Amino acid sequence: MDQIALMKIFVSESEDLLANLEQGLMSLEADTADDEVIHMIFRVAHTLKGNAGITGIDAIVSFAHVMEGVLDRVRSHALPVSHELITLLLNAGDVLKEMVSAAAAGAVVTLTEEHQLVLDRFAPFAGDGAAKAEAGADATSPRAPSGPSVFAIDMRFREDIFATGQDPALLLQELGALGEVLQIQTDVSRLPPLDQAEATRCYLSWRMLLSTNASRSDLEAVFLFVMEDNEIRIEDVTKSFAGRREAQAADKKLGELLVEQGVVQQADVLEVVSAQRKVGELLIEAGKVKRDELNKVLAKQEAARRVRQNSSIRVDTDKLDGLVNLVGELVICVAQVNQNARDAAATHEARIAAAEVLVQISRDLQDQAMSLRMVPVRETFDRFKRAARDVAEQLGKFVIVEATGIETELDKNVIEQLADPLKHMIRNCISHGIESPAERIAAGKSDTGRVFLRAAQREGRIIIEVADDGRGVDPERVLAKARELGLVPPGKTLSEREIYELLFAPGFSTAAQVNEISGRGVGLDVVKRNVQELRGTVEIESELGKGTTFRIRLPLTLAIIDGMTAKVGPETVTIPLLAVIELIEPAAGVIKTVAGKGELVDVRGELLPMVRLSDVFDFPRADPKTVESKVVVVENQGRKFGVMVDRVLGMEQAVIKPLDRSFALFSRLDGRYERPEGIAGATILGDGSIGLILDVHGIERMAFGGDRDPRDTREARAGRDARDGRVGAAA
Amino acid sequence: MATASATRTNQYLTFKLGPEVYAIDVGSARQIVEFSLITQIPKTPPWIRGVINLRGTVVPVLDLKLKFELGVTERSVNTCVIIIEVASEGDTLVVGVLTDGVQEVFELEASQIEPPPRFGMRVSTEYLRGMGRRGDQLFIILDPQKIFSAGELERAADAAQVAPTEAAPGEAPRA
Repeated sequence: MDQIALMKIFVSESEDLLANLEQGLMSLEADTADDEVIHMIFRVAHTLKGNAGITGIDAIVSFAHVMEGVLDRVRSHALPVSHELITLLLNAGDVLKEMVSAAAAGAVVTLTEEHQLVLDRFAPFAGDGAAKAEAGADATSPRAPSGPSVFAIDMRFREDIFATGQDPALLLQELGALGEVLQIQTDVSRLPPLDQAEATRCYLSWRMLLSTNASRSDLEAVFLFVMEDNEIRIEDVTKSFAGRREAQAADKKLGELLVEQGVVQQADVLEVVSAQRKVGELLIEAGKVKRDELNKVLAKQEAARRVRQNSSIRVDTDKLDGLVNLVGELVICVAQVNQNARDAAATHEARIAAAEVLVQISRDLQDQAMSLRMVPVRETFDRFKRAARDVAEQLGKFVIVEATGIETELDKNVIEQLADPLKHMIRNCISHGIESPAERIAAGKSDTGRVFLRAAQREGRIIIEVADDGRGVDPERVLAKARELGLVPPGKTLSEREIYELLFAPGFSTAAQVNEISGRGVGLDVVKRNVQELRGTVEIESELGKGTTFRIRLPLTLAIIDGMTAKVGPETVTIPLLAVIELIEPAAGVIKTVAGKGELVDVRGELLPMVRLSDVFDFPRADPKTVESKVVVVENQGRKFGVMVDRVLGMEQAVIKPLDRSFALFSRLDGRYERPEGIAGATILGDGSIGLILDVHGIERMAFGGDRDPRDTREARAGRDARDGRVGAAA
Repeated sequence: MATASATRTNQYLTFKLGPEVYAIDVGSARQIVEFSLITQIPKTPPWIRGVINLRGTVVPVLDLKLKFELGVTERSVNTCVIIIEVASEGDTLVVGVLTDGVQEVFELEASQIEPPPRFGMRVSTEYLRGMGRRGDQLFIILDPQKIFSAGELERAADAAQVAPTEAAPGEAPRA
């Protein structure tokens, strides 16, 4: 189990280190002389090597070792930072990532041929000195004589050492604290069969190689109380430490040694090793074990190795402290409320006051708990910088990614779901938006294009923008294309905004790809769908020749919304407050009926389409005498319309309870059942009953459709299915 | 008995749908609740009566009588909801089934269960586990798992026909 725990730590640490590495390399490209970043990158390689050594993943150790060597030269300014070097280091980072995830999946990590190719590319950067150090054949010790000494410490304790109040583990720890443990070997030869072993006896012996600045007497002090009765040998091996590599060689694999000595080529060894069969297979062949028994053991091993299953999240200790404080307050307050409830003498005011404090604390608690799920976008943006670089490299373009607002926090799930759409947009910006260097110069711009990633919290929403300073989208061409595809009826004029909206239409993109200039829109409908699933919106702004901006707006949290509650027929509905613009009293003359076009509501001279919610939901219309109807003016993607409800109840925070499972169940019961569009979920109201949360976008579609009525055609249903991701679920 | 799986025991819960008596394995029933506040979901077939609040969880309630076309369940003092768990793709779905009253829980050996007759049944035999007898009372043993995968079969058949058109708009933009 310890090995698994160790692996878990190694994997999560390595992932962080590699993310840092990538981030460092990206910022190094922007400023190649930043020593601090160079040192950071070096430390990453060094730490990774050390960690891999402890975990026993040799392939990573040897890989990181080469990287470390090159980075050391960069650090001492013997090697300039170049674009090629950064590319290579990024590739090397990828290899390490691969190895780490292989290790996480429980696979045995080996240096593949592909990895070796990356390693070989380091050779030109390695320089002579490093090459020698690498070869290890150099006789001169790389360590200065004034440096730390190396001691070999042999420890063979009495079996009954625990009875004397001593614990070898503590001694080992104490030794470890004195310096760097280069190597530790455990001798288990004294260990009896398990059924005869006694837990209170010590059967193990150790040999430790310790590099330390401490003197021999310091080491002896550690063994002060055990020196007499146990076999402790301390030997200064600093001089022979140059030969440490040979000492290590004893532990090396034969293949590695052969390669090192130049007897065979690495490739030959790899070939033979890959042809080698697994122990299990050999055992089966020899009839020592049955296959199903072996499989059982392998399955167990597999299960044990799968170290990365639960998703985890890093939380600031400040946030946790805040949470714990609040819980403390809560406990006190609950005691207060409890006492008031039992104490007949408590005044009404005292009870109210305690209740108010309780409300305040629970609200804070809610905020604090929600904030635990919030993570800054920094890490995600950094990842995109890398992705952007790769795309630009492929296309022969120069691109710099600038990220702002990286501290903006987003729900972890939201970030995960946004990753794909954002990547898509960035790729779009680089491949279609940013011009080639020659074109840019001809247009009087710098040859290096810029892609901006911006995150901000504004107007109660999270706003994320992906922008470029490229050629922009030509609305004329988009419109022409859309007409050609039959998406826009001839003769119909559209606003610029509506034209850009066309880019998100399914099916628009593939055809548009033919046209290089307005080739944006590859899978933008997918982007839009993903964003809508997060209850967000996406829009495009563009200026010809100046660039394009994608803007995603998202709600702050997924689980809780501010809503306006209203009554419709027998049910209570919650309209997300963000969509609500105003309330209109349907006085005489405010609602107009237009033949064939339904009803309109007159909002101070502006005529907006209106729908009665009871009609949309097929509830019977209420008797106008018994209700106080109101028209709620809502907005969806810039389009306003009125929704008539029977009565407005007030504002309330609503905890969203998704209905997905219920809908899934209904469709399991009845294949013809379709999820209604206008409902985003349910919420539990103050009286314990359930209210429905409206999806304004869906209501608009249900009430007004698009240019065509989408409700009954099979294509439309399929389209909606695709949007809701239900095709996969149903299949 | 202690080792019997949670979904299949030898104990059965009987309840009434109209005049007839039905039974389910108690292993699949989680609890029985009163039929009180219910919220309708718009645009749903009538046999979906709505959703109820089960200690903070939103649980749909179905009217099997409507589904099996045996009439509507009228609210009475005996009306109650059996909360059933149904396994679905590694997940457990929780659903309420409206009944005209629950009766009792008792043990029934597998040998006491007869296969359903081929005809003369008001409920499609594919939803049944068999017929049980207790004294002179005969009752139908329902299999919730089968009932709640009926739609899937229909849907699969449906999807096979619609698949070409369905795939087109979803796939094309990825190109």
